[in-house]
Amino acid sequence: VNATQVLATPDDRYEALLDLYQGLDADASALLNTRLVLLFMNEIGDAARLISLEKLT
Amino acid sequence: MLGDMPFELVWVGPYFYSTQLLDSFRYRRILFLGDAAHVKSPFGARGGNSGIQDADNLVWKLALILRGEAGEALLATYDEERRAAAQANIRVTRRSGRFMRPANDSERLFRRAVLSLAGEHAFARGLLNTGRLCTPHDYHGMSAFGTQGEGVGASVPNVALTERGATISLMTLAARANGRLMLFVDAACANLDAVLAALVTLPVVVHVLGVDIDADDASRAHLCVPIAGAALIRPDSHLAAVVESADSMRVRAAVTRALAQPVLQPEMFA
Repeated sequence: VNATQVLATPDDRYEALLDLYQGLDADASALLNTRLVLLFMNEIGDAARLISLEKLT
Repeated sequence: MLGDMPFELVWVGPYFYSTQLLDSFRYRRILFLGDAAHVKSPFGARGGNSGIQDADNLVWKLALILRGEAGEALLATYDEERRAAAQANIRVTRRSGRFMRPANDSERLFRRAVLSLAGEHAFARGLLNTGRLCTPHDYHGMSAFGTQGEGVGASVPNVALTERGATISLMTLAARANGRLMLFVDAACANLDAVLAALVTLPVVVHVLGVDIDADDASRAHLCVPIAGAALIRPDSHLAAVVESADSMRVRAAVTRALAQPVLQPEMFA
């Protein structure tokens, strides 16, 4: 886990993330958060990396 | 689960479950099994199945002890093995319960997310948990098994074998062994007569593969019998030991461990 690494195009990524939530109320936004967590969890896959990431929060 | 199909609710009722586990499955001369030893939520059919598995684990040990064929130390393995299995079952059923009855808003939200993804994505279907079916517990590393040998501690499937041209299942052989262990020895074992002689006084039924019992390649792989070696299988179908290059000392040591008897010093075999 490397939390110091900066994304190549941070502003693009951040904007894309905000756009995903455009027009969503709190309930829909919370559901999208959770769906993304599950998708990212599956994509990362490795349990040790996931635990390291969870510790950063 | 039903998708867009119309349905009618016929009955709705409360559903209670709880989890309880005894500190020890043995108290003096009383042995506990099934719901008397462990109460769990029934997801995955782990209540009834684990009760039967407890009995399967215990009865052959009791039979050997009552017949004087094994020492009472063998009983300690019942608590060791089945209490660990009960703990595993409780962990699994708790997880199912937590999925089906989320404890708070966050857990409910995660379930909604899983359900919303499950239609399209296989990974999310893997997270759906309405109960995980009961499986035999793996006793690998426990005192009657040790840590050596691939498959040791696991349950051997009820494979089909051949005896004098007729098909016979592993569990039929186990029933015939009447509580005793089963040793499957490869006919290529270097000193077969010495191995057989070393087991005469022990509660073991010996089957020589290729002589009195035949196994095809798939069945033999399940039995875990190495070339020139032997596999020791308990009446409850768990693989007790895999003996490479079987000789009388190694085979006796495997039986001794499986019966939780004091290990004899090597010089005593001389």
